[in-house]
Amino acid sequence: MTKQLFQGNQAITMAAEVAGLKFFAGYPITPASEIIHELVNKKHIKVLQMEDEIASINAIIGASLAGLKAMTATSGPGFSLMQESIGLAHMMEVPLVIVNVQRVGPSTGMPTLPAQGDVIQCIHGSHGDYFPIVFYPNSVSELYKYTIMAFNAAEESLSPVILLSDGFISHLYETIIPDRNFDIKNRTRPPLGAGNRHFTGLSHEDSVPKTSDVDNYRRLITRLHEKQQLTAQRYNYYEYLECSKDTDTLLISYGALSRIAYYFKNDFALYRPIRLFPIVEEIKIIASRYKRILIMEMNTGQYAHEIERILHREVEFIPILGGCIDLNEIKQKLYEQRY
Amino acid sequence: MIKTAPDEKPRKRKGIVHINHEYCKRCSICVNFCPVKNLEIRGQKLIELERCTACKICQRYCPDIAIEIEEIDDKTVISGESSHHNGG
Amino acid sequence: MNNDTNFKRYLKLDLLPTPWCPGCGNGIVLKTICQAFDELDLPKNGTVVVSGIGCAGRSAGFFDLDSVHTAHGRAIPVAEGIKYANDALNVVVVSGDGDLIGIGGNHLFQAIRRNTNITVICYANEIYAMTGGQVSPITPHNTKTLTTPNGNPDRPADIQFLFKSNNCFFARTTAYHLNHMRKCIVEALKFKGFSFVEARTMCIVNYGRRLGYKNSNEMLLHYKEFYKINDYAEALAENEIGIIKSAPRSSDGFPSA
Ligand SMILES: Cc1ncc(C[n+]2csc(CCOP(=O)(O)OP(=O)(O)O)c2C)c(N)n1
Ligand code: SF4
Ligand code: SF4
Ligand code: SF4
Repeated sequence: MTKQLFQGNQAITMAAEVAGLKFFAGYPITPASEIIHELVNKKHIKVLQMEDEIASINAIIGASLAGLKAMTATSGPGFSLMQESIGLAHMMEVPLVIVNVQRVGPSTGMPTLPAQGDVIQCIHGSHGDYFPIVFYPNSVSELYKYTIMAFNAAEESLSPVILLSDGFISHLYETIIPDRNFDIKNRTRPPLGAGNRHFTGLSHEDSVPKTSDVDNYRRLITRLHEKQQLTAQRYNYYEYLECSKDTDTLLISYGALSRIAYYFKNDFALYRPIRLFPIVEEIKIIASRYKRILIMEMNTGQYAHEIERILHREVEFIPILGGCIDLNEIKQKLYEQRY
Repeated sequence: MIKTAPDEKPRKRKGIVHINHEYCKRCSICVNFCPVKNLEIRGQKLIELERCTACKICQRYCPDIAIEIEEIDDKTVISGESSHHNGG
Repeated sequence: MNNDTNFKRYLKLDLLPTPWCPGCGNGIVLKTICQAFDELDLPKNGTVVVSGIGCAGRSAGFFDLDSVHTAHGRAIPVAEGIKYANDALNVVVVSGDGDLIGIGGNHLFQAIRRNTNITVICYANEIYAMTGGQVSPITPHNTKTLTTPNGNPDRPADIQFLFKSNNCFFARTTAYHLNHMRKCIVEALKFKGFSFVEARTMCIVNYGRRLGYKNSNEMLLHYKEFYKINDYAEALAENEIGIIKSAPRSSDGFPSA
């Protein structure tokens, strides 16, 4: 297969098609709109432009229950609108892929510039406890690969899987090899119209709502949690680069910003989570080798807090805000922090 | 048990009322709508007074599918016991 | 089983009784929907019921069919997703007036525009019942509710004209007019395109009693006295129920009268 030049968002659509996408519903938003623009031209994919992101996520929930692999794509404002029904999809165990191409928030923020401000929203945006699988690639070829992984993980976990991107990598053009040789996971549950099942957002057991059964609720949440952990274990993706020099510092970054981290590989050990959530357990072992943990991210420390929580130790973080990734600024901040 | 009834009631009685007491919420919709006042709530329980004309108004308006009318022939009647048998 | 009770095949009888209050009209609508299914002999495999949240929304779980109980206001987009994913399915939405016309109002409007071939049965009790009795988009003017203690200052939404605007199906009926309700639902199910039945039904506990009705029968009798049937009219007056006339769409034979 030959290398071809593709845009990040375009790679997502190509991979989605390979993964078996059959239904897409979305609402226009920069920097995600290229995804729907690309998909409308694909023959075997039903594409709906809905009235908003709430309708979009709910339409794909319906389509997925009806048996089709379904996806939506949005950015922060739309992702915020989807939150209630993301919880619904977890409770009803509906496989979905939700692409969030992040831009600078809060609110309308800086619509055309990249950010990483939706990291915590991925895991706590909806009310109640749920345990989503979240991938965040950092290149066009990775967007391609992890779109397929997201579809597979969704089918295996019967849950909505989030593919994070950002305005930078989604709009990047890179040459990739659009490989079609992936093991594709297919739907195991029969589609709607085949029985008398009841899918509900209420606490339930075997199709029957149980609104005040405490033990049943606890069992349900434990089962959902374990299911997510189990599936996640099969998608243990991260990148770890030891430093050629002796260093006491591990520099953690992900997504767009991690691309610039490679520049510092001779001064720091580098760690990049690709599966952002559930947090890859290996970080505990890797981090134990370093005295300092430094995290840079395009928010005010969202992932840093999660890492602190899992490592039970303090980490330093460098916020890179306003959608601007500038080598000199980062250099200055990294070494300033140090000395 | 079906038998021919020689007494005065059977002439009027055209239906046997089957009440599902597990479903019945004793809302009284049927009681208030029954044109011959055949239904009553007594001691937290819906009962019938064996003068059903089988108009089925109760069955049609019951929101809880708790009451069903079995039409019977003019000259036959089912002995009192059986009218509440449908408990489950 | 006889003809009167055949409809029960569409219900999960082992889950009854429903969680609704004694005298709640929701059960009448639920039953009438099943009767309409039975009249059309809708296949149990191949029919899907979708609901939102509210007292009415709970009805989805009682159908002996695949059913989806979605988030508040979102039954229509879920139903549309199902229908566009598999056109062979009969997709029926059952939910309350607050759910469908209030929080889900934009979805309703857009589904009319798209004319998605699904049927919506609105349990129109004129109140947000599940949350205790707050004003809904179709609570009559001046009516007292928990959130309008001095009477509803707003006019109720008269949504029939939205349907008219795209030749979709709209009917209004009540829990008193059982044959009429059944006919409306049957016609709605047969309609090729987006169809909506506004079934006025009584919430005795969080609405009727506060308005002075002693019991559900009085509410039913109010429907009997207040509403006049006017099928296939150009538009329905406030005190009329019926199926509104809409121009036949190219793909179907409606209306029949
Ligand atoms: C997003 C959201 N907001 C509010 C609620 C609380 N809530 C539950 S049911 C309901 C109103 C339901 O009214 P309606 O749709 O008319 O149904 P009814 O209970 O009257 O049958 C509300 C506001 C909710 N579940 N979700
Ligand atoms: S209408 Fe039905 S639920 Fe109500 S009292 Fe009569 S049988 Fe019972
Ligand atoms: S069928 Fe008619 S007469 Fe008989 S109990 Fe019911 S309402 Fe009364
Ligand atoms: S609150 Fe009203 S609508 Fe809800 S179950 Fe009770 S009577 Fe029915």
